Amino acid sequence: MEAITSRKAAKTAPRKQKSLLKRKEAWIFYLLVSPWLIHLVALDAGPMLASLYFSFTEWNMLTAPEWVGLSNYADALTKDPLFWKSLAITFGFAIVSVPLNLVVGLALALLLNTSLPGTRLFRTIYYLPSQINGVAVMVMWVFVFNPDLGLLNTLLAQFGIQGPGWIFDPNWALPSLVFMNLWSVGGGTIIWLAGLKGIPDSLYESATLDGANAWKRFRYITLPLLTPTIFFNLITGIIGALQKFGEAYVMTKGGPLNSTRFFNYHLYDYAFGKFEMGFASALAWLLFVIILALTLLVFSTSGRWVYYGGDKK
Amino acid sequence: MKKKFLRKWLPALLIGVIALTGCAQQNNGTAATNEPAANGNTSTGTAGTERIKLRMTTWSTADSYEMQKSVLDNYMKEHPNVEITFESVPDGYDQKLLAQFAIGDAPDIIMLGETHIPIFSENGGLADLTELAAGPNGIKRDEFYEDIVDYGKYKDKLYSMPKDWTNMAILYNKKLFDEANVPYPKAGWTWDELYETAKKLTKTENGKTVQWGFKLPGTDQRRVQPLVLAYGDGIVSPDGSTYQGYMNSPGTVQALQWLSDAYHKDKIMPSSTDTDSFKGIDMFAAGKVAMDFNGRWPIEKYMEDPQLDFGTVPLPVGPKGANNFVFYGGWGIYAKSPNKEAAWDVIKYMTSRGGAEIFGDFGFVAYKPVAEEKGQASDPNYKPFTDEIPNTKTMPDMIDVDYPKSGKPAFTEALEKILLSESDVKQVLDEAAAAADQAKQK
Amino acid sequence: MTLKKHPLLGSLLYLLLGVGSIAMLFPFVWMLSTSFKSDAQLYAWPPVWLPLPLQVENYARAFTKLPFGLWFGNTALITVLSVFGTLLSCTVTAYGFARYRAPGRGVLFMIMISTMMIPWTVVMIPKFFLFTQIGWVNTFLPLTVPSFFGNAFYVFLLRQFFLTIPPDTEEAAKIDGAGVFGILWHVMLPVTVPVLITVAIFQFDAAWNDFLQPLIYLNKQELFTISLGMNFFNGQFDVQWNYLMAVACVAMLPTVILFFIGQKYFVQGIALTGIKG
Repeated sequence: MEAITSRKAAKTAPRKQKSLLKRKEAWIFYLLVSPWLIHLVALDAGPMLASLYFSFTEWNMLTAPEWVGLSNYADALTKDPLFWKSLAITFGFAIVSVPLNLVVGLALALLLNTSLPGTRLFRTIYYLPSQINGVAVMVMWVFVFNPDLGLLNTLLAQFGIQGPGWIFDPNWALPSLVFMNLWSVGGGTIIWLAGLKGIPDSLYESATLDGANAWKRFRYITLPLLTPTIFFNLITGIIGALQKFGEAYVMTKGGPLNSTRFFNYHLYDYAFGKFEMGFASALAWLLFVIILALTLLVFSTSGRWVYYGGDKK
Repeated sequence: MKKKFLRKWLPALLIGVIALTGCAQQNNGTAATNEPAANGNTSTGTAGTERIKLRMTTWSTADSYEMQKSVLDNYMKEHPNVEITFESVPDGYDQKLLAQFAIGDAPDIIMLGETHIPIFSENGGLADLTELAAGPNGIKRDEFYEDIVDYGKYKDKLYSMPKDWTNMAILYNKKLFDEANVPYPKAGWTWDELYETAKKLTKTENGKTVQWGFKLPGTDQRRVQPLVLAYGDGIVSPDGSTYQGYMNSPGTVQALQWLSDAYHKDKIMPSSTDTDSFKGIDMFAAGKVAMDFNGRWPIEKYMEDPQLDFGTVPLPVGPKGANNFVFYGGWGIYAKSPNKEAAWDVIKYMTSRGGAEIFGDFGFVAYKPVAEEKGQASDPNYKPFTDEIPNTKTMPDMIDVDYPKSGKPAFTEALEKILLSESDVKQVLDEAAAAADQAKQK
Repeated sequence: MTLKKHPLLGSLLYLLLGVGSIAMLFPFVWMLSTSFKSDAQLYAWPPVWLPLPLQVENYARAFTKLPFGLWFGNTALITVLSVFGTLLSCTVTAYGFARYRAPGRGVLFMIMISTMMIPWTVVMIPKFFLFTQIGWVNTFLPLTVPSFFGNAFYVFLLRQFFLTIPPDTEEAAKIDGAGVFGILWHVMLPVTVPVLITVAIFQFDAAWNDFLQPLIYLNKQELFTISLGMNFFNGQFDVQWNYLMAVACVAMLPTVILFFIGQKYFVQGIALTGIKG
């Protein structure tokens, strides 16, 4: 009898200790994330839930909101003539620009990851475009893109190529914006650089000693260890691309002929251009669901390709 | 563990919190003015000795802002018990104003454009000024240009008083006319005559146009209205309920065919791409266009330019006669303001002698005594504008309160299509009218 | 690394980067050139690239016409506070997500990411209402205090980097008696200096150039930031490009200088050799 109880005691003691440790760990977790929890409760939850409520109403912001149930959602899917077009434009843009920015951003970071003299200056030069904003950008790009007198087409004319109408041509406007986006890709370079700096030189050194060439080093050391950064840029890239707004608002107003009518701009126009904040909120939540679904999808695959050196599972 | 944390981070936290509270203290003085109604500001007349705090908002920047501020400063000198906080919104004025309406806390005195008035008054955002205007502290109707004051009305009630306004006229470059040996345009000319004149003033070199005869922003649904009204009865029915039969009426089709030919057939107007690329460059001042459809805004600047010899002439007329529209800027009062009489007194000052004296140098004012003193009805550069006041027509925005979601997007899209490439104008307008009517159903 | 051994590759690199730099710098040359133009040169066609004589007084005039000194000060205060708050709160929160397990951690993380998915247009008014209710409108509080309570974007970023640190280092520190915050301060942060600099630079940019939030929360002109103030040259019918560009050029300097200087500390984290194997 005593032997059994003592053996039982021997088993339960470590288990109790384990659960105590687990509780302590959980407690520490909640303590550490408490600043953000406060933010969530005080500043995020309220407004998000409020906008969800408004999505079930008709609200012109001047009079009180009027409950309409699901009709905003129904109308969005069936009666809004530009809903599907806007969604298509937004997705079309994202499908091209997200991978493009990932590849170009990483390539640029690799080029700038040397200790050659002048690298610091180059990095700053490539960073500059992300700092220019507002009215100045618009004028400048319109000047660059002008079909007859602009910089781009004048340059192309030197090679005997007749340039397109760029942002003034409904068929070329969206590609022009993808191109514009690429110009400020240097803004995100430091994130890539931070990721690259996190890979110990010793790994490269021992690989070189083992005879690995530059491509092999990239493929088997850099890339795998960079996956946490790639994952971050992929997720934030998707979230950002699907919420693209600026260029449509400042430059194109969604045109010409609605060819650059990003979804986020489309809903903004409903809110403040047509005084339909309720409908805009419904559109926002539809967008939210789409982004969330995509993000969850990427998250679910992450276990297979993202390698964290020090993850405690 | 916790002790170490506190020792390390507490000083930093304390500094942060102190800094923030310091800022909050500095700025909390103004928080009081953000609270509506229940803070004891009574709405007595201006002769009262209680301190009255008013919030006033504007979209004006640059010199216009300075001018308004100086007028307000003068008012406050004459009325030391009134404190006016002048809030400028450098961009996104509509957005911020709507947000303030939405949370029920908007400024007392609100700057308004004519397109704001229908939708804000329809939904109870603005106070009805009719009684204040007619009351003991009211205005004398004959001291103002009635047509302009009426722009601030909606459904027969007054909601806004005019700060300044402009309608449209044609500015022409005398030097380019002389070079081409074309006589200057005269009042009473027609759109067809303008077309022919513009053809004579369009020059090409090596297949590229270097000078256009006439500039009119063709995709701007507002600025196209005088052309539309010259040939038709407007794009919407007089009761604001239907677009079918109006947006695609034979008259409207004819007007937009004129536009299409101007761009595509005879190329007398710069296309939207040309105008956009010249943004930041004044095509008229640079001598790239011989005639410009514009308001009064650049006139003072043009008068100072020694290189530019220009004249102004009223808009051409069409089979339907003469017509024009007004860009109006004025002030209204927030429906929930606790200080309506005090606010009205400020508005009255700004729109009559006190303000008009200063605004009148840069814009047309509705206050007759000042307008006449400044030669707005007599100066040859201004007369073509002021003579057109009786020809002012109501714009679709004021006829159909749903215009922003029905007629406006549909008509704008139609204009874009017509200008982008040569199209069947009737078909495009048929589609637009149908889309506009459908949007009204929702 | 190997580029030093291959001068040809090095030169190719310079060539590539150099050509790209022209494309990057072109708009700034335009901005700079415009800032020195006289009013007449602004509207000249074809456009003037080198405005002579250089109207240097545009800079003095632009900055004295409007209270830019005050606005620079406001923007600096807001920015510094918000960068400080961000670094403080986001490192702590990310540390929690990266190193400490708890029931609901995964869900909470997803919720945090999802707060980035809702467009500003529809949460703007409820947020505005919130801040009005507590009397924070027309102060700097809405622009600074929230950064002391975390930011999904940076927490995500920092968490990714914290997860790459091998746990052995912490075990060693724990054995030495380091507590929760001791580990954070002595182990996690020194190794992730590049990403901390990144967070600081990003948040500096975001706060310095923020337009939407100051627009909606600040009413009094004395509280304005640079981004709002710049729009003052955006007249209704007449944009004063030269003054606008002068201010824009100067306004860009702090972020660029910060970026340039930050590069110096952008070196590899303290080597972790000795712990392994």
